[in-house]
Amino acid sequence: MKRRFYPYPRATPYLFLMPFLVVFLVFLIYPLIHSVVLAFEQTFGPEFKTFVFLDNFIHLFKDPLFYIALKNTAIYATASITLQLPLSLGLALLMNRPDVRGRAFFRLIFFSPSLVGAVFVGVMFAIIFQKRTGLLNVILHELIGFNLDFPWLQVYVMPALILAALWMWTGFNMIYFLAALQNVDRDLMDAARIDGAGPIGRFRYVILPAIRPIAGFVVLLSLIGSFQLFELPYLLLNSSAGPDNKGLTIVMYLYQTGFQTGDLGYASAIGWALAIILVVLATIQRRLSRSEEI
Amino acid sequence: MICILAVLSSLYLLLRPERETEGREMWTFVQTRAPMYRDIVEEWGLTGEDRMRIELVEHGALGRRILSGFMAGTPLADILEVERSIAAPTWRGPIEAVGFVDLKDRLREEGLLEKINRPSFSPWTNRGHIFGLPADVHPVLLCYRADVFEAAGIDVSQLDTWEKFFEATRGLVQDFSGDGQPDQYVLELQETLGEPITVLLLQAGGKLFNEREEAVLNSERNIEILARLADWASGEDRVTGDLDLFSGAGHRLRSEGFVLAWMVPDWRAYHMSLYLGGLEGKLKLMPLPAWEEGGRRTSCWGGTMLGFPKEKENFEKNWEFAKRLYLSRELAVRSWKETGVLTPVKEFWDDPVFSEPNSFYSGQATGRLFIGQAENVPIRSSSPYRNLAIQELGNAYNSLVREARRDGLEDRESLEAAARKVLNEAQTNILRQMERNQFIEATGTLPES
Repeated sequence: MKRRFYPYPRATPYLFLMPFLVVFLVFLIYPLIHSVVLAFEQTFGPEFKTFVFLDNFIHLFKDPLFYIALKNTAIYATASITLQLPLSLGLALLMNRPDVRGRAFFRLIFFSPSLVGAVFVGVMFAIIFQKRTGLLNVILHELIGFNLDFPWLQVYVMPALILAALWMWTGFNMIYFLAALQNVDRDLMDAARIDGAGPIGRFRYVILPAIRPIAGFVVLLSLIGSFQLFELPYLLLNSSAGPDNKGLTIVMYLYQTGFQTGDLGYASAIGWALAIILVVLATIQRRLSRSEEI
Repeated sequence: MICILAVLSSLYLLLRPERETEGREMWTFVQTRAPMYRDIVEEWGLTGEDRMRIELVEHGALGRRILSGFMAGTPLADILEVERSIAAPTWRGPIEAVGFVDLKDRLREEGLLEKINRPSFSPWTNRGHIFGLPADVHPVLLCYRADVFEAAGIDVSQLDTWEKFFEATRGLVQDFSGDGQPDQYVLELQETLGEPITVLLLQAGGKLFNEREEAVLNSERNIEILARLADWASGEDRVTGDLDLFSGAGHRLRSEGFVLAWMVPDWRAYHMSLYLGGLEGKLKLMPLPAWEEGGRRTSCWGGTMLGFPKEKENFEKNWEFAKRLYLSRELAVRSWKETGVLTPVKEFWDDPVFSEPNSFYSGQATGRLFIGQAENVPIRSSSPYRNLAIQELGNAYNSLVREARRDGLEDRESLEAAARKVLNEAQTNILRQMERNQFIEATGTLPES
């Protein structure tokens, strides 16, 4: 057999890959493996550890705080998908119309909230929802005599969070849909129009099937992002989970357990539970997308 | 372009001046104290190994660094100035795993247990060991709008119980705008924060943990006090207003007279002078009204210590430095003047600086007022679950107030029944966390179902 000629040493590609591999192994694979071990232990530093086998997971299943965090996160994720994405798609459809004047300007305006970051949004909405001095209460009081002392961030924590997220992410997701809409086959749209399809018909039978792959991707991204919710409630609720833990999310609970209490074993168990939930949801989402494609 | 940026940034990293590493290092989270320490230490002219660099580290970051240092051996400073909420999680493990040096024998041998105000040691005393040198006392007084009360003909300073206080001042709760909601309340009390509730609970003799560090959130005294606090915050006779503790919005409402009195430990009294400039000469301080005739007129809010990581060499040198700094009259005086914090070193309490009139508080000698209550501050727990307990207490109070408002609970019995229910829940929640701990035995008693 004729030997292939290599103009460089055979190890060269691996050498180029090495920096990435080293970082990947040290900062991702090793911590990942170590977190599996930690999830079966109760530790206080490297010298003091007890193997507790499934105790952390058993406790997790009995822990009401975990269920509160799970419920809050699920509500937020559901709202993200059912409110945010249709709004994003609606905005994208509007911004895709050639007859809308100043489209570029409006695209920038709608997209800009996502540029400022969750920290800014958290702080800003905390001020807006303040009792007595907050913008919302002041305006409502002036308009309809609404109670100035109404505590939005005590009573409606999750709606406040969803509203803040809506303001921040709707424009961001609009960009994905806009990119997808610009790839919809013009000929197909014209053909549908000639065949007598109205706006709803064109949307249902032409646009939607064309943007389905991107829509699936955005749903998945929103789902993962929602389950990783942390900074927004943390800042909106002044570094706490809010009254009755109404703003507690899974990642916030993980942070509190691991980095404020120092219970790394239990925090690892929470982290793995979150990973499993995400894998299950992502799989379901993929299956649903595929079945629709078929 | 990327290559140029890479080269430039690499050059910057190579050529930038190296960070000073000579001598030892101390970390503090208190913005106002760091420059003060630097000034004092600079004057000492320490060089070489004796030199001490004072680094300011953000509160949350300091907590994470300390936990990482103790649990994973990441680098720590030689001396750590830490606050209670940071220190508490470090005693969650077995006693031999606590990362701070036990100072108990040394404090006893050197007579510091007598020299320093005794209650100041309590937050740093865990399972019979003392892990820190206290920085403060933090007695709590009542700060009130003297101008408003005097105009109403009320001599608040003579009202020595909460009952008398509210009886005399209740008429000042007023709805100026006529929208049905009061625009002026008598006392500030946050409805979502556990810390101010804990301050009042401690004053009343309530506790979150007993002497054996067992959780006692649902004790009879706690139930009684929480019910009374909910009574203050609900019904037609409501006297407490809820506003932000630290934000600009909170300060604005205080300035505008939304509340007429609020609790101030020494550090907060100083903050008021920084943020409420418009109220200069209109405020006064007085001991807290007691819960019963002859009862305690103060409480405690906050706490900071100097701790020494076990892993560090040169403990003797660090200890000598800490004593020189913390036990100096110069720091006692500057700390009072520049941060408003009263030293726990009793022999300095006779310093004239504490008798100086404070123009912000209507010329009162505020130092004397705080010193007058310093030895009466309550003993506090050092439980590693203290942060969680305070959070649970805040949640319990919030639920209770909402229930009282929603269901119109006004009589003592129904308020206490509701308080018992929410505190039982809080106790169950905290025990659930405590019972998991394989390293500490002390827990508490589950409420009867």
